[in-house]
Amino acid sequence: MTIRRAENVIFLEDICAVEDADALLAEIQSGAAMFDWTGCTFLHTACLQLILASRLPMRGKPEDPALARWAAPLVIPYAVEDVPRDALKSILMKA
Amino acid sequence: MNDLLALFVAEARELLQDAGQDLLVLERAPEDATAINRLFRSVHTIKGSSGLFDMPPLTRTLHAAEDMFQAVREHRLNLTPEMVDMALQALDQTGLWLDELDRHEILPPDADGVANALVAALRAKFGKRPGEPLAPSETVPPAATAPPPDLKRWFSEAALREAASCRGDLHLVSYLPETECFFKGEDPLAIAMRIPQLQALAAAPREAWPALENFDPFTCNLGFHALSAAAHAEVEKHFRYVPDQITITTFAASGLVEQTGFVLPPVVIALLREQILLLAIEAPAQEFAGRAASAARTAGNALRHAGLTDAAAAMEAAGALALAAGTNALLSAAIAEFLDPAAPVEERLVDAPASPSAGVAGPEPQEKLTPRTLRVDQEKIDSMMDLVGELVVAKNSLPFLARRAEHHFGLRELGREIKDQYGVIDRIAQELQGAIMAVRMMPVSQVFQRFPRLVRDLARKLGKQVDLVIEGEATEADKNVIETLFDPLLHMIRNSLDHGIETPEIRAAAGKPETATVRLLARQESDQVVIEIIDDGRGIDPEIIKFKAYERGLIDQARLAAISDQEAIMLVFAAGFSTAEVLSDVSGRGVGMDVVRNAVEKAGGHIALTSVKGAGTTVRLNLPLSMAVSRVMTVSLGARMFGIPMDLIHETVKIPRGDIMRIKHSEAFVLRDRVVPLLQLSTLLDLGDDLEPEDETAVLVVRVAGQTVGLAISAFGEGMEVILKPLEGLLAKIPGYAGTALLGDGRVLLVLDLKELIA
Repeated sequence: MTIRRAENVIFLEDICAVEDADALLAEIQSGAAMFDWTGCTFLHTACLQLILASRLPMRGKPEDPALARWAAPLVIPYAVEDVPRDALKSILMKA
Repeated sequence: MNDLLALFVAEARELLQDAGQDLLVLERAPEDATAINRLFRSVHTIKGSSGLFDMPPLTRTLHAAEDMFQAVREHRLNLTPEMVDMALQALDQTGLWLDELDRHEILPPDADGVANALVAALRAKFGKRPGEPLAPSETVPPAATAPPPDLKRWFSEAALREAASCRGDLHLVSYLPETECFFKGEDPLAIAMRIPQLQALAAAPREAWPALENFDPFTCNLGFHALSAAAHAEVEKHFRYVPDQITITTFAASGLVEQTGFVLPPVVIALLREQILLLAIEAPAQEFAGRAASAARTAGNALRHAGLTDAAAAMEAAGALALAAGTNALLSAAIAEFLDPAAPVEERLVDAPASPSAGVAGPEPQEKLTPRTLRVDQEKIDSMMDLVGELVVAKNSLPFLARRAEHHFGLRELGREIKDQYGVIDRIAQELQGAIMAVRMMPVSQVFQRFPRLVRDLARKLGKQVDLVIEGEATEADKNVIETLFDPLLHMIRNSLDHGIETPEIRAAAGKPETATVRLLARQESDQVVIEIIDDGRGIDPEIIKFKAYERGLIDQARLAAISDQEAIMLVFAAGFSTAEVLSDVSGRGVGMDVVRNAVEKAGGHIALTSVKGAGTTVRLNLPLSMAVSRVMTVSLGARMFGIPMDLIHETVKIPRGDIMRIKHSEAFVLRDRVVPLLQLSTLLDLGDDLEPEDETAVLVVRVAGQTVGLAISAFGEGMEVILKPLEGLLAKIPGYAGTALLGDGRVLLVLDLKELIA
């Protein structure tokens, strides 16, 4: 299984191909809170664009070095406490 | 057949068609970048897909063609007509092989030899032996200039700093894949990540992300911006299959340093990243404070080391805030924010940067929209059409049933209810019929698209210069009509080029432009498709036609003297007429315009020709939009009933017996001061039953083959739409009948072919 759901985390594992985009979209639509791509070795553009469009944070580091190097900076990194980005910005401005 | 192979064959045919058209466009306009790119991609796609199957000869041939097109695309080679001939030959051969694959699933045994010859010929055209790689592009990469100002919108400052540490030039590659690219098996992310010497990568939506509820995951809405330190040519090569989807802007890496002001050493970046990861690890509460403080200190020190005192201070402040708030998130976010200050992903809009340094062609604004279509076997549609025909007939029996219920069984209530139900079924049946008719509608471009190639080849063969102008190719008509169209059109275009169009010298002498124009127009006029073939050639000389017709015994001396010019021109449609002085390879192979006329009339259409000597000829075809349903009028002859095609009927009149004149054996009557011959339908059909003479005769005035004729019948019936089925088997040989149609009460209506009966 390449798209797996455990509670509010969508796990992207092994090869996430274009065919998996439908399943991924379904999981996103059913109210997940974050992704985890620790076991991901391949991510198709169709899956990446869903991740970006969902604006959900991404946990972990993908197994594939190219993904870790180039795709990781594209996604919203998961911070331990899920604080909205806007709130962070305003705090930083004050600091 | 293997489904995959069937799909390949179908797709490859379409692509071949496109490739052929683009090739012709290119021959005229060698600078048309869109055409060469599309041509290259079509050929490349077929070649690529063919690799899935075992057909090396086909793959090899297309590969050679592809290499040639690439050389043309890179301006290393000028496209000559000979090369176009050669390329067309390669495409034709591929088409033949596809037919072969369709039938036998394998290439013919001689394919290897044919491919070798073709490949050798193609390679010879651009001076390369098979297998020898093409010389690297000689195009000089554009000179490096200042970095584009938009970089900061897409890339994090950290990424830019890393890229700035490169030597030499950097290329900003803006890559906007087609929305349909997933269906072509493309993976833009993979392509982007493999850009040679990639330094930084950013993604941005093409359009703002749609709501997740109506998100189409298979439409690519993502574009990429990338920085590469590789050579310009190398980047271009990486995108050679999608050259129209990228823009490359070149600038000096050193300019980036100036722009960003400083270079953050990679070690500092690594250190900062490390802190984020460290902070992300879940920790027990008592360790939290120590870890946050340590991370803030490390980050601060690293930044101070890089000479960024302000940033260091901000970082430590964020650490203090985090401690106070009791959450790591604030600090890790602060570090992340520093590493990546770019706006959120959704705000990074894709727009092609203005490229002052003249990058490659900008992204094509208009996407080629591939309609989402379903491939259906024609037979299935045909059988649906038959079923609908039967439904219409079955439906028509309900009114009869209602009448029977009412009169025969005395059940008026039931009769009325049946009629109500009939209304509902009638509406649905009509809608169904309409829907299937719409499915069967095809644009005339299906036929027209074959002509540019044909005209080109013919013109070259005849040594004439001809421009083919096609208009209204989107006009639609029923599949059967479209299918019957090709042969007549082919014949007329051949005639036009062979007999109508003069050689450039003659044209010049006559004061016409050397390049002749043949226009192929289509348009819809009410329920007909009108197709015109207009040339500006020498036109038809009625005197020559008259003389030839006389010579061939088609007209006698009396008619020769009396015939008008327009009538004479129409004689070209007479059987056995050909004016070509020499029987050429092109036309005049014993098939005349009469064949064309018959084909058109069989399809329920008619043909007309006008010509002005010296100025050109216009042939006009009128065809019905659909052949599936015919309108007929029923007429009765004694107890029998016949159908007569409505389009032939001019009017219906009743003639008092006294007004019918006898001229020897013939009868005639006067209609609005014209003498109209009167024929007895029963005599024509050889029915042999004498009808009771009545005081008034019902006469159907019809126009057949240009003559007005009156047909005497017993009574007029009603007009109706029927599905006409041609007579089959032994019955097919009986002349005078166009076919049969089933009536609502189950009776069979014989529909007459008046042309055969009267002419």
